[in-house]
Amino acid sequence: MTLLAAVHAEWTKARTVRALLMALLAYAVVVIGVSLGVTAGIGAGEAASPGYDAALLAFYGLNFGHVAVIVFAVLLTAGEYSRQTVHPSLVAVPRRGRFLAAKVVVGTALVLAVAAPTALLTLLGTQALLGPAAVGLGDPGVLRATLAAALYPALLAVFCMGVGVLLRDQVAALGLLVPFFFLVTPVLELIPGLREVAVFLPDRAGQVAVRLHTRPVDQFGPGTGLAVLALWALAGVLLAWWVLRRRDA
Amino acid sequence: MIEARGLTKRHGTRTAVDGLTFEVAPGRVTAFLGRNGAGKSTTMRMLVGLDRPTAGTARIAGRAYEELAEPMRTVGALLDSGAAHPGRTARDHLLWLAHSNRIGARRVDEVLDTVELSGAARRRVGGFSLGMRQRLGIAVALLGDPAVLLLDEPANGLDPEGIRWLRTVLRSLAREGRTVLVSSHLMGEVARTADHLLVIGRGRLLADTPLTSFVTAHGPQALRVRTPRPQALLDLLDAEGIPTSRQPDGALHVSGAGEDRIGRLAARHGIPLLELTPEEDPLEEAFLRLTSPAAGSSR
Repeated sequence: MTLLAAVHAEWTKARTVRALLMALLAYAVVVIGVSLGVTAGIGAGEAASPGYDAALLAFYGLNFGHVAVIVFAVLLTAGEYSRQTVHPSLVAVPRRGRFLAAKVVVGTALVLAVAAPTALLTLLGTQALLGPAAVGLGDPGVLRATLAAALYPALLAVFCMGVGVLLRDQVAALGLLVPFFFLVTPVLELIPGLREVAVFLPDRAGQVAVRLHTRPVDQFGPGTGLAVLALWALAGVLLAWWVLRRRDA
Repeated sequence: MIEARGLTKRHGTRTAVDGLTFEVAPGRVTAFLGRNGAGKSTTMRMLVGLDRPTAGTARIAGRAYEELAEPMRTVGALLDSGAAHPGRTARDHLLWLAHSNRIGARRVDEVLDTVELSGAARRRVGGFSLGMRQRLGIAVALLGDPAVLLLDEPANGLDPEGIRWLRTVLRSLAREGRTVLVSSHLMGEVARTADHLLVIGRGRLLADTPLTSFVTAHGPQALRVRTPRPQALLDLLDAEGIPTSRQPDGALHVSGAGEDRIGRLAARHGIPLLELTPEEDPLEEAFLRLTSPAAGSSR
């Protein structure tokens, strides 16, 4: 019952800070915009080439959109420390586990609420541009990839919320997470010898589920990919909870 | 009722709070006095569970703060001037806090009215003056209509009118039977409000005493006296056994006798007085003496 009160408070906090809402809006705009733009530009040629993965192309914008997810998750968590609002937050909800749980529930729900319609609109929009090469939700794997395109950002947000609580500093958390997920992991995946390890990193594993076809380098299927990301998310939050309980606010 | 038992906080080798034991009783305003860095804020933070004590315990209404189900209904706290997100409006700030402890939205408007911020309720906190932020922080503390109030330097940033308002609020809260603990680094600020004093220096309790005993213990006011015949007055007061000393600017510093006696003595001996005024606030003086680093080391 008091967890519900804490969730209510976190919901009020999230909806009354404009930057958080802007980050979510930015996610939708970037994912849909980049996906549609890329499909319109090179979609026809890609669709004719061998090894074409309709979902990989359709959800191309995710690679950019997840920056907005990182920003959202970090503002929601580390932002409390940068603004020192964590003090009134913990005075109001002194059970640290309850505070963190409420925050993760609200943050995840908000990302999911934006990512789900964004995934659907992205698929429908991109396929409308492809004409005869288009796939539909009824085609094998397409519904699954679309669901994964909604779940992937939500799980990534959970992981980033954990990191935000651990680092307690907006700039440090953004400085670590944005380059890591935007530059480092995609490059690691290209390096032979490292790529077999890199596919287990949170974003790489999660994105396996957004493709229609598994590549030779992927050592697991879509379901396992999302599970690996979910494990990262769980580990991040558990570590954040463990540290949050022990240290001074 | 607030109870601290052997409350200690160490940061590495530095001891911020050193075995504090005290009780704060309801129905009166207790001033928590100490110089900057004496450990007041750290103590307050431990009372509400923000900092983990290295040793000792803190209880409010008989329980550890974290064990209170809806703590804002029992304890109202003002720490770091209320720390509100600059992008939120004053009302939204109070609203999320109200939701966290299942306090109705109507109460939000009530406390906004109490702290005279109703007109600014829908303005962003980022544009608030320090005084307005402080009032918002006090509104947060009052939100749950708590029996215990912990206010860390609530007068910071308030203008003279605001300070007078704060004094009235604190007194009426105590009169309603609530427990009110107010920290300050200025003796003068609380001398006219507090009923009881807790004085700390370098993390240790230096005094736990009613204000009246403190005033009695620290004696009468010293006087500053100016006269065209300082030597004559000095000799006269010496003869009367009143400790007197000459200041660099030629004025006399007289202690141990009031204005009436000095004035009459001077008149009887035909010594004109140009000035007869109280020196610094004796309470402030006593407080500074009590908390001076030298006093600490001699203990």
